[in-house]
Amino acid sequence: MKTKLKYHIASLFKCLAVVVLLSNLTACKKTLTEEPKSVFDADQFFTTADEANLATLGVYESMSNGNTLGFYSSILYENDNDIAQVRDILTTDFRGIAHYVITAEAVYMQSTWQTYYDGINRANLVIEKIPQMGIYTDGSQRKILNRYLGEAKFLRGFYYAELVRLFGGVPLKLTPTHSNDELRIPKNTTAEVYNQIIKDMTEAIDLLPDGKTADERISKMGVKGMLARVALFAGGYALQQNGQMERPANYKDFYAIAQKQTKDIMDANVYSLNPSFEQFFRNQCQLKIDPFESMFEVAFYNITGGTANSGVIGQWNAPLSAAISTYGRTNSYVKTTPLFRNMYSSGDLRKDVSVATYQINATGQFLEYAAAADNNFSPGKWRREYQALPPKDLNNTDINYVVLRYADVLLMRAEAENELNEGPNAATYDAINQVRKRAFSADIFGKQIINIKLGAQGSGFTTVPTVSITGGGGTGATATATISAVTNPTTGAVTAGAVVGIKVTNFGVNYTSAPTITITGGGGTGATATAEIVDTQIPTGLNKADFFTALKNERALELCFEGLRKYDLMRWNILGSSLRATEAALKAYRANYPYIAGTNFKDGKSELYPIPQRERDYNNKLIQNPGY
Amino acid sequence: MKRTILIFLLFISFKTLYAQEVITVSGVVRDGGNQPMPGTTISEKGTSNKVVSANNGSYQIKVKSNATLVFSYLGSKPVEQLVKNKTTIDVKLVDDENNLNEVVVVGYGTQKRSDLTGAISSVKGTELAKSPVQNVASALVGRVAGLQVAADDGSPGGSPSITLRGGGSITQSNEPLYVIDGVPQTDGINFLDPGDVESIDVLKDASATAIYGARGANGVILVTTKQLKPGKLTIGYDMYYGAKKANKFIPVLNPYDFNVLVYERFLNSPALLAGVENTFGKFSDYHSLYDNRAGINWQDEMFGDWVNTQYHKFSIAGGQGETRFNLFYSNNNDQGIIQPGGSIKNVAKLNILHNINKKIKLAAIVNYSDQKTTGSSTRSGTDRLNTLISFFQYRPTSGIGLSDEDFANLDSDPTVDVNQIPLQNPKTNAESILQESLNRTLNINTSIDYTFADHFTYRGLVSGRISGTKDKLFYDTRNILAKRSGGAFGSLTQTDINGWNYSNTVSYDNTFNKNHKVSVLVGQEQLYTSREAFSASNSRFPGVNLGLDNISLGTTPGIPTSLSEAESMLSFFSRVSYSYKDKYLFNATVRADGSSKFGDNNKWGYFPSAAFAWRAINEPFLKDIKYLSDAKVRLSYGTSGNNRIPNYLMLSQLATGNYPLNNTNNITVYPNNIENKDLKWETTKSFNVGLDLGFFKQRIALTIEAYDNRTKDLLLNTQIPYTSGFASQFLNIGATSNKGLELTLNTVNVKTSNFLWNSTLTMSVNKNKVLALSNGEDFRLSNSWATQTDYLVQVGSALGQMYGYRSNGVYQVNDFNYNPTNNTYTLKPGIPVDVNYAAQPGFLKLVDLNGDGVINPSDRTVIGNGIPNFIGGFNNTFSYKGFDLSVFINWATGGDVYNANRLQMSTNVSANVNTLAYFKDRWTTIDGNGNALTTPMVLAEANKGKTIPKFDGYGTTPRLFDQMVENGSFLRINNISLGYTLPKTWISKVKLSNVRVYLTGYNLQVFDNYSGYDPEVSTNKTGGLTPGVDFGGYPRSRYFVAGLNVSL
Repeated sequence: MKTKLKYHIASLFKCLAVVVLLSNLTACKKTLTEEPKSVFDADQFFTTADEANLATLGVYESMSNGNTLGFYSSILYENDNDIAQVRDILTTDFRGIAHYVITAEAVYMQSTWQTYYDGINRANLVIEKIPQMGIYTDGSQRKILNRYLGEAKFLRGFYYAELVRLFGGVPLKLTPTHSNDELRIPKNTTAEVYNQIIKDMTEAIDLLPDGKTADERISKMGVKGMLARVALFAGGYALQQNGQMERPANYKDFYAIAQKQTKDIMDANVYSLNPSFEQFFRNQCQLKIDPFESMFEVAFYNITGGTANSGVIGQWNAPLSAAISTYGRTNSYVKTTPLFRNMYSSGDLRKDVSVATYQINATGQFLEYAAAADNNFSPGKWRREYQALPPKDLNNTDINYVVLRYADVLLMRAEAENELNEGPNAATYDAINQVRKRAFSADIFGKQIINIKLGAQGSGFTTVPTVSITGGGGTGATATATISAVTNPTTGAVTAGAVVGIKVTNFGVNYTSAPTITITGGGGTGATATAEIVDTQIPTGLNKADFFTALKNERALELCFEGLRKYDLMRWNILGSSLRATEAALKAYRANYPYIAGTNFKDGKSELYPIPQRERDYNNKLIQNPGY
Repeated sequence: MKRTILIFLLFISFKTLYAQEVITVSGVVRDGGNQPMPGTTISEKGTSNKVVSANNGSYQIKVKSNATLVFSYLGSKPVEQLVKNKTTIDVKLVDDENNLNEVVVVGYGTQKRSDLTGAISSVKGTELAKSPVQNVASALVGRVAGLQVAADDGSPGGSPSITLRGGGSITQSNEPLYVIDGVPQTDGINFLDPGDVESIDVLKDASATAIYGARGANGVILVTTKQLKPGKLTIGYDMYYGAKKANKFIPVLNPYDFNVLVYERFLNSPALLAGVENTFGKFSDYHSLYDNRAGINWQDEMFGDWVNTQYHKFSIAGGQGETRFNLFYSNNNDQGIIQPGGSIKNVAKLNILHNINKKIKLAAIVNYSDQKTTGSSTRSGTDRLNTLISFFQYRPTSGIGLSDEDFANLDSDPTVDVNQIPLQNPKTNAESILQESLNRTLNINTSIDYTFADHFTYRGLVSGRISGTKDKLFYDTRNILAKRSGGAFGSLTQTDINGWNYSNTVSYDNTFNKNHKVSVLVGQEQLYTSREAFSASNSRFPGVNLGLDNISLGTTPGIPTSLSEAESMLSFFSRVSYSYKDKYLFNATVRADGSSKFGDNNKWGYFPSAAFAWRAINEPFLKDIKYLSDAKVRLSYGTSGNNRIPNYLMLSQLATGNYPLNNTNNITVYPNNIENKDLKWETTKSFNVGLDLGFFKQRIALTIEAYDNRTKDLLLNTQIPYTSGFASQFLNIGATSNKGLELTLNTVNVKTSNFLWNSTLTMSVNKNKVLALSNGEDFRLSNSWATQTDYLVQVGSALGQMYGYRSNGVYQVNDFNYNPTNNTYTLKPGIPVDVNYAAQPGFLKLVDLNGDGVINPSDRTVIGNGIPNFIGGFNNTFSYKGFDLSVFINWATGGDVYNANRLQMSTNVSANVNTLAYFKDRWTTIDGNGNALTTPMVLAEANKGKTIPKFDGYGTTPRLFDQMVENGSFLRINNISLGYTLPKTWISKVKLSNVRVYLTGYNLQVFDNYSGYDPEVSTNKTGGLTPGVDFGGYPRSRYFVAGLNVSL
């Protein structure tokens, strides 16, 4: 019996030995090694310039979505301000965000925070990996790789600039995340974040090649322009953890950066204004990069109209349009105000481009809003009629977000010069008046132009009368009248009417005083009109403060709804006061005007968004922003 | 495969023959009714020498003259006979009611129930077959103590998820490992025909599951399909045919009440009120217009009809001696109560066994299955655009100027601006979505059993699987989503999962000196699974199109996507069992698993277990207690693992995206995860105490189990700060525990020659607790329909906690200061302010829990738990002569349902939208004549005692609060089945061997307090984290089927 048992045990072990032998260790190791098929292994990546390029485009991708520059960061967060707001005075959902009723749990800012930090991590990977690449260290492909490295540094700076503007001091994470990293890192101060941004962007300028780019990739000049913008923010006011709006003691050093960078751009003469303000936005809406003016854009395009790589530009911030009209639906959540529209002088061609006073109904008709509904005036820069039709999707558009255009560079130059020289100098006037000149159309530009206001409407007009303009020292002005006569379509009989409007068709040149207007012919009598003179340029000899006021208004007139206004007011430390003044003005304009931002805004709190609650749940080192 | 052959050859060389004095014994085996029993195994005790009885029950075996013969047949009590030189031995085998001799399938082998040391529950296939359902998992409800079967809802083709003993994992799957005929399955058991199940054995404690190592922690469900029995050729036909219908409608407002609601909504907008009057008439006419108007009951329109369910199975089985086979084809066609839609399942299976000689047995199983599920899900669409929600919200009447019948035929509500909140006729919606999922699975298993020496058996098993799923989804031009996105659109997705598995085991069984029973198993297993997917989409199809059968007609194609991944696993394992005098039983197992998924630093995991059982019944001091037939105490302790994580997590992956430079697609690459080279198994240490008691010769058999499972190194998809660039990271962090008690009671209540009554009762309680989390941090998460977080995972509490507000009725008039000049109500100082809305009288009043004067998300607390803690089932079977009756009920208590349907419909701000009937008793702002109640006094008077907020009193964004969490406890009459087996004397005249007819009612009645369709619901499953959500769940139905089993 015993021997048998021994035999059994022996054979058992033999079996086991065979099994182990068959699956020897090298075989095991090979069997259990993972080789991913549909994703790349980062340890094997970053060997060729093409691979570095793909990873660099990955950094760009982080801003091509609704969380960042397709929607929230570019449109929603700019509201409410002194010239625009989100419609409806509800305080739920995104309306609450716009109307300064904000909690740390809101998903909007959480998504934005997440997506920018995702982009920063992508940039960190590129910035870490490129200098380690063989073709970089041996110099063989250094030129092209330097470009990618420069782009990644710029984008990291840009994403931090977006974060610091929204949330104040945020944690600086400058290396790609690995498994054993300390992930719970505290906030840096606003100044530390800006210093890092300026460092990144300055390095990017040195790394990038000269010249424009053929697509949405950043150019050297583009970085310089963005550096100027960041410098103005760095030198402007920001809400600090102590609850105070403060700017650095050496703020002028930052203005000097802006001055230098904008001057470099202007001297380089690579970018210029599109001769037509309207054409710039038509180009943008037609998905073309403006050949003159566009300095940095975020690319949006989705082949099917899906949400990825799509934005809501031209959908959220365009005149209301019914879904079944040929123009397709716009939600038109962003609304401007009649008071802002009235800021434009007559003859300012930007007025009717920037502000749309109508909606489009189901049959495609354009219906003007009645006076009592003028709170529905909307941004017009990205109106449906400018866009390629029909829209691919009811909610999403392919329209790029233009982050920086040359007009902004001119206005930043003017602002920096005014600040550094304690008042406007020739360069200041030159810069701002370049913008003004285009606004009033180059071919009719004179220092002053005329505007015509209808007096008595008269009566008995059956045909359009002639409007003649005489005197005033200038020439070339023309105008046409419109009348209210009605022609019966079947009998052809005309019922006489009055003059109901006069439109200037040519503003003329060289007028020094108001010319005389006479209305003759058309079968009627009694219609009168008067002319007035409008300055097209910023008056000379302004002091620093007055010029600043002019500049402040000019930035609104030129750059309205482009994602900058609220932040401009913030860095000038007038956001709260402007909102309250706007609310007072609108209530004075109409008692029940729906605008609540002035009431809701809390100084020392509302300038910043709260750190997203989720982020604080998982990182107890993050101190909440003041007031939340 | 090569290796298998090699091992096989090696083992042949061990073969030894012992020459002994032998005689030939023959005889006949008969059953209790004196009928010959073919297929009985006659073996020489202590050897591998055995034969099988022939068709006429006769057998012939050569044995040693002093041997003991063992006659055994599954389900019968084995009989032992000493040969003592006799050459003729006839025996009679009677049915075995003693479950102690039941053969239980354990990992890589079988054991007698009396020899078990672990916690293993078994269910017979005949019981499962009583539920007329398409998948095995659905039939398991309430059958096994400790096993929770959670169906998502009642959709056709749906497969429920199974959790055993609570489940230890937080973010990863708690689904048990399924093993079918010895082959571990990577992707569920949906492909089986429930009628093909012989038995199911559920391994519950670590002593039983540790042999499955890294995949055993969630329990193991061993499915044995129908066994091949020798005998004459049998042709069988099984069928049932039946009808089913929804068992519940949820009441909505009738046309009159609906109109009052619409009117009240618009009363403050005179301009819009005119439009309401144009559509619905004047308020003063409502009574005359609507009091007697039935309106359209959309639930009735959508699922008010009886639909069919049917099953047919043709089988042929036979083979005597060396070769046996079984071949069947079955078809199950289960229509959905919402048409078009349903599930059709076909299964074809061939099972062959061949005995090359007494020592070598070959077997092969080929199982092909396809299942086509059609019809759009009631869960499609989010928020207000959800399909099921539209059944409630689509208005019940056309108003004036159009008949309700005509309105019911319109594709969408003509009064609702598509610009705003488009509402589509639910029928049009169902018809305009083509949704189809076709799964095809082919399983091939081959095995060889070789008794290469006395007491030694080698088993080699090779199996392969080819499985593919094709999903089609198409929205035709009538669909509202197609209209909103510029035309018809659709997508085609093909997913293939292929793989193979092979294992080799050697087992040794022997008994020494009659008292020492030893059994040893060693084995090795290897597994490979690959997954590939491909998807294409197109949109803006022209009005005339062929749908997805010509996808090229779309004008705006999406970017095609594809995916490929693979995983592999290599394992070694062993089990040693020893028993002394059948009194003291020891069992130990160990397994080593290596997996491709895990970090280079932790490729291999080791899972040991040990168990001890004491069969006290065999102690002399219990011999005198006559009524006691079994007494056994079992103790076990061991570890097993969970490896359910995605592939490639140990690597730093770069995923691909797109940045559309110049309006063209440009590929991008970006980091996808934080690599973790230390990643390893989640480990569960489980302690189990079991007690088996039997009384009156096992007329009463009771099993009680108590367990304490602790899971550590959780594979936790940990939430991390976004500043890392990521939302989450897989870490081995955190711990949970599950403690519970289980009871299984089998009784034979009445037993006479004609009448038999058996009962089975199973009950279990489980207590789940989170012991540790990453950095001790709680985390909140949202089930996918809501944007707000509504579940909370925290240390010290159970999983599944619903997280929301407490409510305290509605704001009352005297909570406000009233300003008569502009008719406004302002909250009195001291009354908490809700940040979500400017509260008015009649608004929902939430509780300011933290007392800071403001009601905001910090006032949320735990208001429910979606996991029931007490579940059970009670089955009674009766038989009288040819009649058999079974009644099965099951229940679950202690769980809550998060009624997200109701919550979604509480925000009542959309135009012309209907809502649930309970809204009729809302806080009202109008009097019987439609005039606004303005002064505080009349407002308060009209709303005395009202607890339901006014029409807009829930705000515009749904927030979870206590009233939306309902008690999910229920008791279900699961099925009642009455059958009659025709007497043999009748059917033998038409050459039939067996005919049974039966009637079954399934899901007959649910006793519950839930206001939705069915409290057994979980429509949002993010792991086990958000259980009990009912959002868009498909209504369940009650079945009545008539069936027939015939064999010849």
